[in-house]
Amino acid sequence: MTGEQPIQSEDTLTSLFDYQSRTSEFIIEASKLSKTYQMGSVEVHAVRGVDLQVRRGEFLVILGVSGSGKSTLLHLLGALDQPTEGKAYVEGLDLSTLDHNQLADVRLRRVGFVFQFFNLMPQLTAQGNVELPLKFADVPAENAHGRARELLTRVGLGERRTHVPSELSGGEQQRVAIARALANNPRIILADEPTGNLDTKTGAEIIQLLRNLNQTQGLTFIVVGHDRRLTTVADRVIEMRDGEFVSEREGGGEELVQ
Amino acid sequence: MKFRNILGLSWTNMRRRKTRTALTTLGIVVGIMAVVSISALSGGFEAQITDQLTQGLDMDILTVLPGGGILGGGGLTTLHMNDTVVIQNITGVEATLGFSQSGTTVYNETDGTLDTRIVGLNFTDLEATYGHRLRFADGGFPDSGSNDSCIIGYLEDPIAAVGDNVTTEILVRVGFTFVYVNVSFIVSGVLEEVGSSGMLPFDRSVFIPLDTYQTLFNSESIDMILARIADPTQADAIAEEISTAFEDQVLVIVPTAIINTVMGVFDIMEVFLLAIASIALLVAGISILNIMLVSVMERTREIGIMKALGAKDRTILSQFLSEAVLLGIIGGIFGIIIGWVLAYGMGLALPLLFSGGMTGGFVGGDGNGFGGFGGSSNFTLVPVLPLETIFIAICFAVLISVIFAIYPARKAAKLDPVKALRYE
Repeated sequence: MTGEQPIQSEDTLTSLFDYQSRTSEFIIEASKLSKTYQMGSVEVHAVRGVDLQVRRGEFLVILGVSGSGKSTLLHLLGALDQPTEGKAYVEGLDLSTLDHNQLADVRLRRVGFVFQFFNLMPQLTAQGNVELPLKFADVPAENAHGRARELLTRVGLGERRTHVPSELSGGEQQRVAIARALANNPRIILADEPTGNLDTKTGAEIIQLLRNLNQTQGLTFIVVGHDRRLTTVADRVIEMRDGEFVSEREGGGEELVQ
Repeated sequence: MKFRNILGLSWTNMRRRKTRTALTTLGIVVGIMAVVSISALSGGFEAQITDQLTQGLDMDILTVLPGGGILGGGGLTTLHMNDTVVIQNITGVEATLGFSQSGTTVYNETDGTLDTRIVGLNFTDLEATYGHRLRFADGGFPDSGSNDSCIIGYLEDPIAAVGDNVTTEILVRVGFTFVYVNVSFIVSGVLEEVGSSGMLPFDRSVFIPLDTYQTLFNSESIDMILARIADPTQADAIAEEISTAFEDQVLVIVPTAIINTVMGVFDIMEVFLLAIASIALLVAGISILNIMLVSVMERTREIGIMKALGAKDRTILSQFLSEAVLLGIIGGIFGIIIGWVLAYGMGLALPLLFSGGMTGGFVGGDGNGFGGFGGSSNFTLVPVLPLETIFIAICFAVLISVIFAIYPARKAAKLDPVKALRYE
């Protein structure tokens, strides 16, 4: 692992990614990853020494009740949060060696987040929401516009582009969020209970959409949640309890029958 | 993130909360309005006074008074007619006029009395120095040998015509007592209205030969010497030369110096008023600080989302700062517009309020001194707002907004994305 060297700029970050992408077998790795929160005088061990290796193109589902630490794990893997101990690697790069800006760049270009509560910007249209990460990445306006349009069409929202989130249904909002996660063409999508706030039918549609993206685009998915239907489409299912992995098995690896 | 995109997002955010944006801007609007209207009004006032002074003070006339230095400490106590020769010999001086004056009462048999001043001077010098400005309504300069002739300045209600006798009562010192002596003069000419002029007021004055004046008042000295110079732009240099010629024992008054002194007073007043108006801007800044802090709290979740999507700290920072810039620009523009309208309205209203004595008496005393405002009837106050002021006002508005937005913006930029995302 060469990620121990300090990395100075975004340019070197990119070139290092290219180099390490060839050298690393796993797109995401975690070793002895721990996160401890201090809640007043009480120490909360959200994640306890997790080891994880995720293959390229894998659809990994992590099941667990709320409070099991699965969301925290997702945040650690997606460079949104920093571990108390252990290391996380994204596309072979040791996140612990990166500074604030470089971590932001990982979130911008290497991973895409999908949340339970969609987390769309309320003042922006569907189009504007998808364009936002493209603007963060300094994509020229015309390209950003075309890209957002294309992505919204891909998730089935071509006609609803000009609506703001409050004018969209939950399922539609989650589709916008998925399109937004795909904006800068990351190879990894991290989804935190993507169906948790949707009805059964819409939830199934969203699960199927994620599976399709996994199959057709070769994107790697790590989906956390407690929706049992996720296990049907998953390649691998890990169960998490009290911050630790308690079981691991193969998933159905199938399409979701609706 | 490109600046244009940041501005675009800021604009969207501000439009989302129109009322709040308007209220936040209001502070800036009021502050800039106060600053702009004060500076426009005082600019207009200055322009007006400069104009009046320039008209009233002949720019090509230097005044030489006895006494050295500004405070007149030491120096000559008196000037004499032969001093004019010294001044006359300085290059650039075209003509000199020495004179003395005193207040008195003049009357004639038919038309009653006139409180006036009597001025003793050489008529040839008067013609050489002021000939181009003086017009006789009737008559002309007396014959050179005549020592009992006079000319009378313009009067609305003339007390004498050419050829009439006028009598003046003069208090004369005889030994240790004072006695009133009546002296009569034959009017040889009546002047047309001159209006305001410098140290030598023409209207309402009675001019007699200097020799006669000095005999009457038992005096060999003169009050002051006026020097007409060829090139007003050389005034300072020539004044310096005159001073040097008298070993700094005289005081030379340059018309521009008078204007500068008056303007200096206005500048101090303006700075004082602007300082007060700036307090409004300070309050506006504090309200921006306050509202932005609330805004950061309300938008915590959005900030978390933006960070999760890969926004850097500096993107969030510039997001909030650019909102402050927009607030400043909008507030500045509206402040300037309203400030201008206010200044214009006050420019129309003020002369009505102060019609009469105030402005006339401000500089001129009796309206005949230099720079009298002609009874204020034609006094108008047009606010002056140069582009420079507009530019400075906008910059100031933006500066205030940005300074007070730095703290909330930094707070937003430093938010922990995970906590921010959980924020309800």
